[in-house]
Amino acid sequence: MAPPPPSVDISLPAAAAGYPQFSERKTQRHWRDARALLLSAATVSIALVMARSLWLPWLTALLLFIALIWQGRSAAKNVCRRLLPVNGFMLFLWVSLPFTVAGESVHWLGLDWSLAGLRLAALSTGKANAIALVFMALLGPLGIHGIAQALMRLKVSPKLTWLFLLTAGTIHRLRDHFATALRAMRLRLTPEATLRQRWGGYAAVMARAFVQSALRAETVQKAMRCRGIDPASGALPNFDAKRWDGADSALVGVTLALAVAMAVFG
Amino acid sequence: MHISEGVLSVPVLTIGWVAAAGGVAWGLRKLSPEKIPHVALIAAVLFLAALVRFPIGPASIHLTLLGLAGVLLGWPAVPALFIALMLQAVLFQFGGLVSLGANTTIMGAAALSGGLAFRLFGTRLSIMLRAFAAGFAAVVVGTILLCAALWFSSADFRGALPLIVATQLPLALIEGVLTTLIVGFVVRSMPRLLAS
Repeated sequence: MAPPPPSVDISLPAAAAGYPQFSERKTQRHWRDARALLLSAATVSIALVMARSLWLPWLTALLLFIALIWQGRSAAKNVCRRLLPVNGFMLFLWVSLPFTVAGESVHWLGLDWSLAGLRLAALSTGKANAIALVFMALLGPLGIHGIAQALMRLKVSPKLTWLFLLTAGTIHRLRDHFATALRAMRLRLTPEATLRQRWGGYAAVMARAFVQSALRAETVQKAMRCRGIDPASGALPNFDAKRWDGADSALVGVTLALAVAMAVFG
Repeated sequence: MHISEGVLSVPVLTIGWVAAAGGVAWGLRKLSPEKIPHVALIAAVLFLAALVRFPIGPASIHLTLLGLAGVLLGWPAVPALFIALMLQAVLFQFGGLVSLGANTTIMGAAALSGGLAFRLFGTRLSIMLRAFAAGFAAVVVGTILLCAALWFSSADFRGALPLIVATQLPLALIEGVLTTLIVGFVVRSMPRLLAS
């Protein structure tokens, strides 16, 4: 009997979009200070979370979706693919809330659907998608170094910023190696392999990755010490990035005004 | 165990952020500078391992490996999870910055409970049983906190909570078994990884 075909074992949400950059074209946003983008995204997200009306998140999501496509920064298929994982939890809400929330209901397809449950599921879905699109629009082009730069300039703990930089860089580097190890393990398993053997195979690959990473961490630690890098001192890589200017203040001001308007009218 | 944006109420989100800030601060305090590469690299593997699809009959599931995070990292697991969730939110738009605090609290507490379950029994139980307890306890504690967050967010979510519990309990058993297998391999190849 032929062995099972190899398959991609790691389903990073951004697998097809390219890690970590989302944008396909350089836009003006690349020259904004990363702090301005992060603060703007957080401000609009908070306003969307507080929205009570159904139209606000859905309208925001629709406008951002159109804007992303119109700007040519990404194909519609790419945007939709990135929204799929966002809607995993939403699917759970759609199959549970219409039948668990009390209130007036409608009979459809042989079932009683609660109107309040449907509304809550629609509201939550709209908010989640709108916020994801805000992040795509504002933070998509930043990448790892842009976010690290924002954290550094926002005076976040240097330990946390180093943790972010090293974790993000390692995920990027390990991903293909890890996927190859899993694929090799799958190919070694015969079709008659028991569940215990299969799970044992997965566990062995993961355990080996932990051990190899621990050993590599020792090398990284020695290399950092040799270069005189002290993660606790606040000395971080010197990012050659744009400094805050009037346009950044204007961006934060506009998003803040927008967020206030959303809170008042939404 | 990962709540999307737009689901939790503002008070729950606020409490989540306050608790997460405390947990991250304490975790960073417990993290010596020379251990940062170790925590970062282990966290990266945990991040990737949690994305692997495990075959369960005709279907497959994603594991959380939170118990293992608690066993391998201890308190620094909280800032490591904060970073992992932030990466998911900012780079993959999965989750978000507003719910980051609540998600960090839920997953951080789950990881810590896993680590506690592993260390609580000392040498009185075999390492395999302790590893199972860690994987199992992490999912159970995470589920309890997830249900509490939804319970206090809106009365409308309360009817859906039994469904969440029903889906998470089998996962707790699977996590326990997988954590046992992984810890078993680590014990044989690099026992000092558990001691650290």
